Amino acid sequence: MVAAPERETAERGRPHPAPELSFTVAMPDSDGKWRRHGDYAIWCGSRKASEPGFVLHEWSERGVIPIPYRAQRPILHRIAHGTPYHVSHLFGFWIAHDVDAVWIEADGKDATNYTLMVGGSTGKPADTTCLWVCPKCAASFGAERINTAREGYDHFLDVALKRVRAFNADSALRTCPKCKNVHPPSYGFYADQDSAAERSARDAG
Amino acid sequence: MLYTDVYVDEPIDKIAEDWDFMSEKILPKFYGFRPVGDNVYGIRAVTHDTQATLGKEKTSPMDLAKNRRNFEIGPQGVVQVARTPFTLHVTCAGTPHRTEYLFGYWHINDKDEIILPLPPTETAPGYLIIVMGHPKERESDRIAWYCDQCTSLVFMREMVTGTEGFQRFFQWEHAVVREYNGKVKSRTCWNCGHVNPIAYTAFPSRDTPEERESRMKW
Repeated sequence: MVAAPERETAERGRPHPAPELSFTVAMPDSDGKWRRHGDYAIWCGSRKASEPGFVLHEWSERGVIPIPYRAQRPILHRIAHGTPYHVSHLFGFWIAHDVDAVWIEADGKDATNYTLMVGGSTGKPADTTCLWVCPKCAASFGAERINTAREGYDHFLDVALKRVRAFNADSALRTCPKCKNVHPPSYGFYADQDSAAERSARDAG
Repeated sequence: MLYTDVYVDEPIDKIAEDWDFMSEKILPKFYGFRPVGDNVYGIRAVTHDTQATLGKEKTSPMDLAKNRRNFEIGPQGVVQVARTPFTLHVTCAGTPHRTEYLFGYWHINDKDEIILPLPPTETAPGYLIIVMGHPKERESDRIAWYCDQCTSLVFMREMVTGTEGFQRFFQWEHAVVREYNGKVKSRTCWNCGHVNPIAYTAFPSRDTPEERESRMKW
C-alpha cells in the first residue's frame, strides 16, 4: 500500500466542504416560485406564444431601458448590482439588489422560457430594495430596503406584496414626488395572489 | 407597456455593447471563463456529434460533444447527472464534477455553479451556459483526481482564485494537469494501487498525443 498523497492546499488542515448533491430547476415546468439555496435565489418561468412575453426593464439615469426580445436566439443579460429592474407582467414594482442578477430568455418549441438568478457573492442577496419608477418622468420613489439575508427572500416578496396593496390603496403613495403624476395600480410577484385590480394591472404590463 | 414614455431613445447596442452575452459579437469573450461583476460566465457551443472531432475543426476552443456525459461525486459516490434542455442544473459548492471529453479532472469550487443547456434553434447551435459565483478573498478552486476503481482521492491542487484572480485559472489548470501526468506515482491510487489514466486540460489544442488519446476515452 502506498502512503496517502500530500495535499497541497492553501490552508492545511482546513476541512473541505462536504459534497451535497446538486439540484435542478426546470424553466418550462417551474412552479413559478423562487428557490433560495446556497449562493443564489432562482426563479424560472415560461410564457406561451399566445401570451405577452415578459419584458425586462432596467432603470438608468437617462430613463428606462427595455431589454429587447430576439426570436430564436437566446439572451443572457447581466443586471449589475444596485440597478433597479422590473419585468412587465411578472412583477409590477422595481427591485434592486446588493448583488448581480442574471436574466436569460430562450425560445422553446411552444413557449419562451425565462430565468432570473440573483447572487454569486457569498451571503447575498442580503439587501433587496422594492421601489417604483414614475412612467412619466422616470424618477424613482417609494424605496424600502429589506434584509433578505436575515429575513429570507420569501419575506421580501411578502413585504413587496403588502407594499403593492398599500400603494394601490393610497393615491398619495402613487404620486411621483418629482412630476406629481399618479402611478397606475401595481401588482405583486405571484399571479395566484392577485386581486382583480392587480390582475388587471398585470395584464396591462 | 407602462414605461414607453420614458424609454431611453437610443438603440441598446449603443448604450451597452455587451448587454447580451449571447450576441455573436460578444459570445467569443465567453468561450473560456470570464469574470464579470459577481459572477464568472462561460458559454460553450455544442457543435460536435462525438469527441472525435474536438479540436480538429475551426470552431471555438472549448466546444462540446453531444455524446458527453457529466458526473458528480456525492454521498453515494460517482453519479451521472443529466443535462436537460431548459433545465438549470445547480452544482453545489464543494461538489466534485466533471464533463467527459471536455476536461480530464474533477473540478471543485467554493461557489455554486449553474449550468443551463439550450437546444439548437433554426439560427443558432445548442449552447451550454455556465454561471458561477466569482470567488472572493479566500475562496478557492481545486483540481482533483479520484481513483477510477475505488474513488479514493489520488491527487489534488488548490488555487485561491479569490485572491489570485480567476483569470489565471486555465494557466494554472495547464500546469496542474502536466504535473499530474508527469509522474506515474501521482496517478497511482494510494489505496488500491490502480494506475489512473492520463489527464487533459479544457483545451484540446494543447493536448500532447497521450492526452489526446486519453480525451477520446474518458
